[in-house]
Amino acid sequence: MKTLPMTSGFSFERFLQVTRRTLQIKRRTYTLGYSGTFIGLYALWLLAMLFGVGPAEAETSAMILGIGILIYHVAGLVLTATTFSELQSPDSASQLLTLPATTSEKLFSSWFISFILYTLTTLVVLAALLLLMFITSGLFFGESFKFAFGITALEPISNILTYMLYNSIFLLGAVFFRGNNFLKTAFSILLFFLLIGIQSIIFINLVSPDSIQTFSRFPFGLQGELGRLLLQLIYTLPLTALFLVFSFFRLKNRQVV
Amino acid sequence: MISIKKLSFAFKKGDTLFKDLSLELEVGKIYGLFGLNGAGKTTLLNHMSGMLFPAKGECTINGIAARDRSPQMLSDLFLVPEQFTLPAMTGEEYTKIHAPFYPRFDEDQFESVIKEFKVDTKAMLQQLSYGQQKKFLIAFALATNTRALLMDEPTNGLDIPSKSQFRRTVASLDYSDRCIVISTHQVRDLGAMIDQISVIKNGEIVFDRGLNEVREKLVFKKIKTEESVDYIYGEEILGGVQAICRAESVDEETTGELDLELLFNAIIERTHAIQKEFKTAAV
Repeated sequence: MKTLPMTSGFSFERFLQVTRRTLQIKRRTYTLGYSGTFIGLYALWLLAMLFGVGPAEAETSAMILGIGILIYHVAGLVLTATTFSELQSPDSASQLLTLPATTSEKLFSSWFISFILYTLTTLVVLAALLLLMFITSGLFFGESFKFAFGITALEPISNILTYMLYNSIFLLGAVFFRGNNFLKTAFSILLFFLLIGIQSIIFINLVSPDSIQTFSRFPFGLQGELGRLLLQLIYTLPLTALFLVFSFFRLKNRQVV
Repeated sequence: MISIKKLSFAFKKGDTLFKDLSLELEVGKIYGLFGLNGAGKTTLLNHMSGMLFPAKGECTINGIAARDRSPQMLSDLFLVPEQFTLPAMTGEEYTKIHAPFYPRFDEDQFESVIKEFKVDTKAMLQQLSYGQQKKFLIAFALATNTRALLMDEPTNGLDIPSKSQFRRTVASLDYSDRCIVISTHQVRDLGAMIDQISVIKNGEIVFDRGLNEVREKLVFKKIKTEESVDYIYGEEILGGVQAICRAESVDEETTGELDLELLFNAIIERTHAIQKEFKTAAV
């Protein structure tokens, strides 16, 4: 049996082994989730096509893709929140905490699975779904499949960036809270936005109600869809990094209490 | 190997569990870590494995701070907790995934112990009974050949034949370069296999001596009711007292085997009297 190097720094081999371990544990959840979503979305599209329920064919495809993206966000965040489920109970925490790998390997592995691997797999599954819809449309509905999704080329990137940021917050929630991690993290985000909103309203009213105009404009002349995406990148990347750093220290100092 | 220096710890502020606790554990020995329920045996093992951090003091494994949880330290230490939940995978998958983390893992030894314990490694671990899961984890732990092996109440949940199998397996181990710590309150179960006894009481190690030293200084003897013999500690039994006496005060031919349970009770009930027999206090 091949053994892993036990060096003090980051080891790619150990990272891969931790990733294999997590995938092995979550295998059933991922398989059920992906196959259930795939079958569910395809069945929904078929029903809409067969019975003419809902919008026209092109919009039906767009609607299915929209639901797929929504599921990508929600299911991904639920999975992220449960990524350190072993830490939730003192009985299972020893299995993860005493696993001979560094904190960065354990955290990066969870981030890799819940963001990179999850996004890539979702893209492949959605592409496979579109292909199946395309084939079914040609074979049974006698017309060419229309890719009129109503989304631009940059929208998927924007969606992925949004998911990346929330993924890092839910990853922090996964190591921070002890139980009900998804709900507690979601509630914390909600509370944060509520406080920011109230604070902003008070601030704007105190300074000048006219200054609302200033907040609605993009800075540095960033206009249009590309501008919005660049702006999103500017705040998403550092915030994601910040939450990952918080998660690292939280995981490093996590104890069995 | 395992060094604990002036360790202080409290779960809640003002509710101190350990205060300046020190303990040195060496390779080539099997330690019995004994204490009453709630004495802090599990907490001490959690400190040794880096799962709890001391409020003061330090705990090191081969000179590496346990709280760092470095791969070098963890790959040379294995903990069998009393209560545990194994991941959702089969025994074979568990071994395939986890064994590479332990450089000295011995597959043949694992197969041999698993065979002795009669555990089905093809079944999902979480579907096995608690006893079977524990036997699987013990087999894996022994096969890792880590120099520090910590077992918290290893015989809890095992049936009587399994307890015998466990004792036989541990007795057959070559632990010349290993330090094995067995924490238990079931003193009678494991008495025969340990080399040194460490007892925790009121957050301190009140006794830490090798059994050979105990045999040199104390004798265990049944004193009949009509006999008049001085003893340090005794428990009434039918027809007399089961007692611990000073070695020099008793004729060796009349003494019995070392009774670990009696010794443990004596350490708990008459701590100072027992410590006095060993001249310097254990701590």
